[in-house]
Amino acid sequence: MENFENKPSETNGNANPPGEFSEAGTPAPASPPLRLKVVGVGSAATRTVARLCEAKIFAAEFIAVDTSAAELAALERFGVKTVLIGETITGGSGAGMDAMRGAAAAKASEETLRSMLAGTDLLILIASLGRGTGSGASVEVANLAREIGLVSVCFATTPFAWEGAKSTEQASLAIDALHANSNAFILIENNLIAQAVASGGSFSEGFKISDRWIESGVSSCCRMLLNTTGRMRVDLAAFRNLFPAVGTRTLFSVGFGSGGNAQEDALTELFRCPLLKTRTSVAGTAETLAIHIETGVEPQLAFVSETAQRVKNRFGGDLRTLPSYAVNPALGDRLEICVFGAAGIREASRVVRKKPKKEASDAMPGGVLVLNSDDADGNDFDREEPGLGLDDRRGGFADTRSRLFEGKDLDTPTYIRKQINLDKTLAKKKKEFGSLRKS
Amino acid sequence: MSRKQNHQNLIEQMHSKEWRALPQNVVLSGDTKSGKRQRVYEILRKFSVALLVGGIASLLAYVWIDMMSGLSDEEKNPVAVHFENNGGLLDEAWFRAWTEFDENEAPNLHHLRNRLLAHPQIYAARVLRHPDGMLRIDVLERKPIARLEDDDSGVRFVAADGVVFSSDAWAVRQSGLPILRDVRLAIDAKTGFDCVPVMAKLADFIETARTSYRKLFEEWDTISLRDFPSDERDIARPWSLISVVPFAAVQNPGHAKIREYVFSATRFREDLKLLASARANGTWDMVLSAPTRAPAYRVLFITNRKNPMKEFREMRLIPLSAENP
Amino acid sequence: MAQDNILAVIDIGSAETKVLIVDLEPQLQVIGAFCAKTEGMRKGEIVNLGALKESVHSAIRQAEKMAGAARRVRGACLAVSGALVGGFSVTGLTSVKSGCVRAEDKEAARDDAFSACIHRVPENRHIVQHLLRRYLLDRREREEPLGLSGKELTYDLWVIDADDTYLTELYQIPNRYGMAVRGLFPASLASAEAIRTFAQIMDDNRLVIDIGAGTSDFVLFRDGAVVCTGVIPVGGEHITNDMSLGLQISKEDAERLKIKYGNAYAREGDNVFAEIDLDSFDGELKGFSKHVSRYKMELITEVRLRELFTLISKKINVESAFSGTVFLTGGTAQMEGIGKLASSIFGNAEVRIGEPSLSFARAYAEPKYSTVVGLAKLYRDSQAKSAERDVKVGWFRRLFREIF
Repeated sequence: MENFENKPSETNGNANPPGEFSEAGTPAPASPPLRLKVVGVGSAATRTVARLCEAKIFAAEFIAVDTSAAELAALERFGVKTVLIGETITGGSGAGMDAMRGAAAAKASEETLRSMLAGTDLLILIASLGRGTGSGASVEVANLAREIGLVSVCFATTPFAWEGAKSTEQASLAIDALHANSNAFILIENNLIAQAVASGGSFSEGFKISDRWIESGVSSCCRMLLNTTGRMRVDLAAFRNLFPAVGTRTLFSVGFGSGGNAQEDALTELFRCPLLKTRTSVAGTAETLAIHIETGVEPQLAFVSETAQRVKNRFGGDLRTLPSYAVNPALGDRLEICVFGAAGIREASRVVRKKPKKEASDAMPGGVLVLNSDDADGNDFDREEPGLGLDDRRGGFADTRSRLFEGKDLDTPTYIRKQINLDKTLAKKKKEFGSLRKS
Repeated sequence: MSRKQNHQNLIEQMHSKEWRALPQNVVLSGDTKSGKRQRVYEILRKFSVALLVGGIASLLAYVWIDMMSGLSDEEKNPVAVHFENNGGLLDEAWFRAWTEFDENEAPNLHHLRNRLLAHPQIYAARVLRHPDGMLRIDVLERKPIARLEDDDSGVRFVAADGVVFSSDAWAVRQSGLPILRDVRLAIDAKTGFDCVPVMAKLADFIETARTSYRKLFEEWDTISLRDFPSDERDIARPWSLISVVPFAAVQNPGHAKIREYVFSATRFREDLKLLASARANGTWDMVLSAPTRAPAYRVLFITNRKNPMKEFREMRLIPLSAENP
Repeated sequence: MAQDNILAVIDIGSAETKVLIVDLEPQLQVIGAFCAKTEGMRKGEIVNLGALKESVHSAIRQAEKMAGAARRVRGACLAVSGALVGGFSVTGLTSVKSGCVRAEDKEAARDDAFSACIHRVPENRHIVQHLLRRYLLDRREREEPLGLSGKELTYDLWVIDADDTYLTELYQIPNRYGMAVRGLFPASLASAEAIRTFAQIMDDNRLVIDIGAGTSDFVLFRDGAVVCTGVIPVGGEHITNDMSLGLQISKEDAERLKIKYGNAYAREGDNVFAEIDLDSFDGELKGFSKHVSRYKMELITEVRLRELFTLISKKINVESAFSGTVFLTGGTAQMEGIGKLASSIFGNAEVRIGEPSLSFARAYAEPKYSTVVGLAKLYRDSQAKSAERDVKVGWFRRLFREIF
């Protein structure tokens, strides 16, 4: 059943992209304009931010933070605001794969970062982990944001397994720190890209997909908040309440569909998205949920409610669900669904207000002075913990102790570790034998 | 010869490394039929053995007492006494008063010794009779390392092995001793006195703090044992904690910067080291005087396990709001 | 009355606990048996001691009931497995004093090996079993060096050790029931023993792999003697878990799927289009797929089993290339096609699916009983051996032991 009619897409060259306060449409509401900052830390992340800025999809401030002056210079032409940190430490030449240097650089330029973050309502942090700046400085930026009291949504990409153990280790430490300091933390594991890419797809295709995820995530975030064209809009306080505590697990998924069966396709992609299988993602259902649906033309009410209901069936959202939809003529007949959610809020049991936080300068094993008001719950005492915490990739073994057998985690399914894409292999075989059948 | 010995040694070592060397704790359950029978048999056996052993023991005791009382018939001379107490407060006058010593009577050594040991301050006593008639008494006294809160029965002190005693003599010098709170007193199995259970760990803690971390120790006032186990076997549990309240917090609860320190009962050495180094290198002052400081803190020590390959002990300052203790 | 000849032989597996009550005198005989589901053990490790204790105790109770007339069982024999069990080899060296090997030289070499072993085993582990692998005289392998001439005698020892915490927890299970642990053996050796007579050829090269629910134990025999043992913490449950994650179905559905349609090879051809309808299982349907692709399911299984066999093959090829027969046993070994898959990875060796076929346990000839049946046999054999070397215990000590 067609839920919407196919209209020719209207390509407006200089018309206001949806999400901006349109001058021709309804007068903007009386609330002050939302100040959104998209900050990218680390070489790959800054490039992503530059691409987003260039696409000019929505109104937000785009900032690229890096330790390498050369990289930043290359990005200037995209219109991104650049911030060079740690000149005294790195001399403008990059952190060189060392997270400690990246962190030191950020600490040295703390004032610059603070002034950059001041006056923001929502911070979207994009970090590419594994290298120096990304792993080190992004943690500092997240700390600062928390100190100031900003709501932060963090997207982090991890290096491939073949990039080396040091990268993975640094990334892992950075993940823990970022997760503990962001309201919403979305991990994009490069290893899982293989699941979504056609086998034999090129390297850059894989990156395009992860970029696409980040892009949809960021733009959905923004559109949810800046929406004027749709009926249902999410205001900042509601969004903030979606992720009330730091350190909770975040659910994030995107699905695209187009053509006749757009809804089915989009929902299927949404439910099968590899982003649901990362180790910080939610196993099962989320407590709060925000569903953002974007279509090319004004959808029917039944369509929106049915989609939202199915998403809710799958992902939960018992505590709070915020639906929102937007109309983006540039999409044409495509449909984009994006879901945010948080789980584990009840365990966190504390709503984050603006709490000051300070970290000691020595983070080496030994003396660490950490002022954490919400770390003082029972989880900190050394009760017998079952291991590395819930790991969705291990499925049923998530609650058993994880032991590495000669460096491999045997509880994770083999097909994931060998990066075998089941659907693609099946499709390939079907094609192979389909043609044999016919002949 | 030595090769044979080596061989034997080796065999023993191998046996001690084998799975059989691990202790097994066979518990008889009650709800199997065989279990019930086992229990009855056990009881019968124990009873018969006890009877046997008791009979032999009583026989020997009778002989012994007979011997002892036989000796006392001999001498009627007044007995000289030499009392030795290694640097303790109890002296000969006390000894005479406590044991109601009568010089003219023949001393019964066992009676004397038992009477001495019946005093909670006496840790060990040795009563000897010299051939020339002099009685020599050596006594080891318990010294307090902490005190219990004052209640109606006055100030009571706790010794390093846990025994609780009152003493007016020590009461004068009680200021240097930390106060123990939330103590669950138990009866010491060996001596029958009141004691603080699992005192050994606590004594170790207090001693370590007093000798190696004097400056920190001097700030402490009260030690709360509310999370401290009262059973020896629970000491290794991760949540057996020793919480220390500094002087400033007791005197001035509203304005003290640090309300409480919570140490781990098993890993307090690392914690003390952390605290001392934080004080020494200035990070402590930096945090407490930072513009974003909280009105009061509780200091907590936890093991950081975020990175399973690198566990380390961490000190955390938990900010407390003024009215929330 | 005190020295019992009744023993409870317990194999605590990750899925099922099998208990045999055996009578050791005059001949090994099974008088009671029971098989129950295990709670609280995953991948061969204890996750919930309380629940595990309860389930094992109820199994033992049932077995005792079957044994009838409440005979008092005071001893238990257990099997160890899991990632906490390790195996390594140590060698002891001695120089042959008079050019000819004598008993003292053998003993000296053995002592040297023992002392090396004591140093190798860490503080928090205890030895489960140690086996003589072979003697080397001047670096040439000799079955019996006594009387031969040479300069240097090597004693090659294979040691199997286990973590202390694991052992202590394991002991608690029979202990709380009032039984003392009399025997402890690695599960791999037990399973191998049970299917030994099935092989009908004793002196050959054999690789016995017991693929259970939580772990896979393997033993390599060369010319009938143990060369290497090991445990891979992967079992049937991992296959189920993989399927559940890969096909987005619930674990129970995956388990049923595996049992009914499991195949170790991802078959091509028309199978690629085959789909299985989950509705026919009366399972609760969550998620989207009501139909699962058969090819996908088989692919997941094949990938996992291939990895398992490759890991085992890597471990055994440390010594030398393997040529001989492969025996598969255990619940998962009954999967279709697993023999062919194993054969392809072990250099096209002959693969057979083994069952316990010992005379005293004819009623328990299913692969899942191999470990427990083998355990009973191993215990009996070890008793026979130690009876020869038993030191005479003084009468007083025996009296003492009687009373207490």
